[in-house]
This record gives sequence, C-alpha cells and structure tokens, in this order.
Amino acid sequence: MLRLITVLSVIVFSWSAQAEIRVQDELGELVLDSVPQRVVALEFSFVDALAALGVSPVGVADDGDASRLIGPIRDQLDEWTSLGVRSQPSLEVIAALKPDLIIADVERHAAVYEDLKRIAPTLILKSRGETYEDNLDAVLKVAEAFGQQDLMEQRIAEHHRIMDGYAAQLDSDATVMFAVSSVKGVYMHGPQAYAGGVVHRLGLRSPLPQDTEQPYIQATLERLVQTNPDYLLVGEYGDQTAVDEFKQNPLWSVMASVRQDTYVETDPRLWSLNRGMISAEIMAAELVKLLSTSTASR
Amino acid sequence: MTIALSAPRWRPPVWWPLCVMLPGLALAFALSLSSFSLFGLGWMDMWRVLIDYDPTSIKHQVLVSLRLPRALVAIFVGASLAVAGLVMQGMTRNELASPSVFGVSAGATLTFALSATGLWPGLSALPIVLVTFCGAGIAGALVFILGGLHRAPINPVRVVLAGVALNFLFLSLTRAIVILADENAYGVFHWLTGSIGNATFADVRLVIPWTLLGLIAAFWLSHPLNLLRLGEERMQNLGGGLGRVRWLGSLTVILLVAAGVSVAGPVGFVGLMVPHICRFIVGQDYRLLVPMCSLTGAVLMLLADTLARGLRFPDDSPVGILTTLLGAGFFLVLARRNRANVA
Repeated sequence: MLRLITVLSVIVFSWSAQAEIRVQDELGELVLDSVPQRVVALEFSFVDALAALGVSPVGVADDGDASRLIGPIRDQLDEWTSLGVRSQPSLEVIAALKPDLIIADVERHAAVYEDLKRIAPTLILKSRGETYEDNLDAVLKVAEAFGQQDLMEQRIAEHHRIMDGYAAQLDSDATVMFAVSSVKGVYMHGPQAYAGGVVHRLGLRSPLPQDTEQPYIQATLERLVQTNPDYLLVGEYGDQTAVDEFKQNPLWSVMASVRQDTYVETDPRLWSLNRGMISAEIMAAELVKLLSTSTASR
Repeated sequence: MTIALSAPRWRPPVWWPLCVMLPGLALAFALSLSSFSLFGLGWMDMWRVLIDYDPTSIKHQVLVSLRLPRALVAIFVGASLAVAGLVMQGMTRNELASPSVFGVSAGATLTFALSATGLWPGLSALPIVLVTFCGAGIAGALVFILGGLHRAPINPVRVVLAGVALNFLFLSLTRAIVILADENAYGVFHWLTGSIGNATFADVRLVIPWTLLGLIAAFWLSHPLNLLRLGEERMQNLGGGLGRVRWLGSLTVILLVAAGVSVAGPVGFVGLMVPHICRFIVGQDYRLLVPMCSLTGAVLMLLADTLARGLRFPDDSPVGILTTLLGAGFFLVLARRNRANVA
C-alpha cells in the first residue's frame, strides 16, 4: 500500500513538474515549461510579491538606486542588477541577465511588451496606478507563474488577518489622506491609489469622494485646504519640495491636520513606491501608531 | 497705415484702446480672483476683503494669500511675455518671432529644470532669476549668432530656422533632464507646460522688478523699433544705431522671458498672439504697442488661467495648456491670412 502511494505520488509529481504553467495576464497568456529560476522585475510591487514567495530577482528596475526598495523587503533578497529607470528599463541589461521570466507593468511597459517577449517569457500585470485590490490580484498571478498559488493564498489570508487586527485597533471616523510632494508639486493619493486602498481597508475614510477616478491628483494649496483631511501624511521626494512652500502660507495653519498636530511627514518609498502586502502592513502599523498617539494627546 | 481720405473730422485719440483695456484688466482680475473656487468665492467676498478684511475667515485668506498672488503673477508674466514677443518681432522684423517659437523660453526652462531637479547642484544655489536669465541669455545669444542677427541685412528664414531648431534642442534636453531626475516622469508634462497654480507672494516679489525694468526698456526702445520698421537701411540713414538696438532689444527680451519663466515656466504663445492682436487694434506705432501689449498680455493670461482652472474643475490645469491651444489656432489663422495676402 505504502509502495503504491509512493509510486503514485512520484508519477503525479513528475507529471506536474513537466506540466506547462499557464497564467492569464493583462495582455494575453504566459506559458512556461518549467518554474522560472532567473526572474527580473520591472516594478517595485512585483519585488514585494517575489519576496513573499522567497524568490530573489536577478534584476530589478530600481531607478538605479537599490535603496528605493524599503529595508524590510531588501533584507529578504540577494543582490540584484539594476535595470535602470522603471519608465525605461534597459532591454540590453535585461537580455544580458538571461532571465527566464520578466514581470512587467502594463501601464509602463505595454509599449515594449513585444520586445520583452523576444528576450524571455513576459508576465505583464497592473502596477503603476493600481488599487489595493488590483495588487492582491497581481500578486496571485505572480505566484501562479511559479506554481505557488497555495502558498500565496496562505500569505494573502495571513495579510488579511494582520490588516483586520490593525483595523480592529482603529475605531475611528477620521479622514486620512496620503500625498507626495516633490519640487513639481503636491499630489494627493485618492481612494483609487494604493495608499487610499490601504486606508479604506483599515476602515478609515478618504476626504475625497470614493468615486474619484484619478489615483493621483495634483493639489494646489486651495484644493488641499478644501480637502482638509483629519490626518495628512506627506511623503517628500527631496529636502525642499512644494509642501514646504505651502507651509509659508497662512492658510496652511487653517488645515485641521496642522491645527491638531496630525500632519506627519512619512516615507514616500513605503507609501507610494513599494506597493505590496509587506508595505501595506507597515503602513497600517504607522497609521495605528499615528491615530492612537494623536487621540491620546488630545 | 491708414491714410485720411475724407475731410478732417473728430476722431478718437489714438490711445483710446488703452482706456478700454484698463477696465478690461480690472474685470479679468476680479474674474480670476473669484471664479472656479471650491470655497464658493463671489464678488461680495472680494468687496468684504477690501472694506473689512478678516484674517480668520478662510474665504478671505484664500482670496488674499492664494488668489491674489496668482492673479498678480498672471498679470506680470502675461505682460512680460507679450512685450518680449513684441520686441522680438520688431527687432527681427519677423511676424512669427516669439520667445516660445525661438527657443528663448525653452532655454530659460532648461536651466530652470537643471536647477530645480538638482542635477547640477551648483546651479541650485543661485537665485532662480539669474538661472533663467542665463538660460534665456544663452538661447538668445545662439539665435543671435546662428540666425545672423549680428550682420546688417538679416535673413528672416535663417533666423526662424535657427530659432526653431534651438527650441527643439532645448525642449529635448529638458525632457532628458526630467527623465533622468524624475522617478515618475509625471514631471515631463509639468516642465514643458507653464503653470501658475502654486504662485506665492515670493513669486510676485521676484517677478515685479525685472518685469518693470524690462517694460521700461521696451518702452525706451519703441522709437528705434518704429524706425527699424521702415527698414534697416532707412534706419541707418535716420541715424538709429542698428547694432545697439539689437543688443538692447535682445537684452530686454531675455530679461522679460527670464522673469516670466522663473515663476511660471514656459507659458507658450502669449508672446506670439498678443502683438498681433494689438497691431490689429492700435496699428504699428511701438509707443502705443508696448503699453497695449502689456495690458493685453496681462488680460489674456488672467483669462487663460481662469479658464484653465475651469477645464477640469475642481482639478487645476496648467495655464500653458490653454495658451498653447489658443496659440496653435492663432498660428494657423496667421498662416492662412498671410497666404490670402500673398494671393
């Protein structure tokens, strides 16, 4: 009996090892003969997903700066080769790495999709401008490419447990908004942006209407004052950015978050660049800390 | 030029359009202050700010600390770009000349982007007007040399070719810088389309002295430009130093463009449209054209910014989108009219 089971399981195992892996992505179907070994990721959100699977990518489009990935993700991975900027990764460097899977962003890389496919099988998924829910779908697709749906489903279930735990600690009707600030201006992340999705997931509200379509909305100070979130988190790209100019204006102190000392400056890499479960959990922890300390102080 | 054929009768003074334009400016100013606001600003709010300013009122604060600097910047940027275009057209005797067509704006934008993105750290330490002045200056000098403006009889085609080529060179360099420096490349759009959405009083203080200086210089140049209109040879015969006018004219253009770009970025086509509109109304006399262009430029910019704000309300759109849209249409009309004239 035992022998029969062993034989059967060997047959089943070898059959599954030889089976093709098929994944439906944003532009078609990815077909792989075997589990990929050398993976390159063209957006940060895919690296988060790979980290969850315990896969170290050989190349990442990290804008030439590995520190753009947050420490908790970076620590789980081996060193990788930079593929250049995410908007225009170097096809030559990608080809030189001889990958057996490329994971690309449908918004940024649809134009080079055919070129990428000539280099290696390409999985093209949502990343830039994705919602929180989009990201969870994309993460599962990444796992499918490695035949690891079960593992990822477990991880997602665990993620939901963690987020539920944080949400339970956040019994608040407050509105919370994240925005990035660079020299070019301040961009509010609406309910459709990843950060907006995390806020919603935790049972908090966005000060912007839930049906705001654009994920990132450029804000003048007038717009920001009118939006007036109870909690405002701003991630600055650079030392002197547009938000610093806003602070010079008397209207800045009119905002609820400034008056109540609930305006905080946070890490734009965490809140905007590194979309994924690992980031979302750290964001949630930050929000719990922010909301609990500020309510305590009031 | 109009020739009186009938017997002398009363005619309005030549400066009547200026009298019409001044209330027009006031109206555009008020519109820009109050329209498309998320706070429901109205004319009464403006009146109350004037008679009984309450610093604790959000509406009053929005009007005074956000709308007012934005409208003032619109006025000065509009005036400076319009007059820069006028002087350029007068100097090159070319109807298509303008800071945005000839690469002077693009040159200023290039150094502006270099400084703002921090790609050239030394540049970031310098005052922004100096930075844009250098950019506009380099672009101006290159057009000057490549276009052969330093030689007596100028070849209009050569100037246009040099200007357009340099414009594209600077635009693509700016794009390259933005792509190198900007992780999101959202900025490409921002740097190539002027905007005054975040104007502050610091910007107003920055732009006023240089614009005024430039406008005074342009007014001073109006007589020589009138002479130059008669032709380069005639001007020389009438004792107007052609070389000096070109140098001073170029300097004025560079100053005005640098002032405008340093606070608003490259707002396109104001310098092309306004001089044509004004010539149509007041004729060819530069002594009238300079003040008329200042006023019309200011009004156009105020209205364009107000409309841009309404384009996707409540989201703000850069004013440059609207001026470029208007300008492209205007360019086509101009081309058609010229062809009709030839035919």
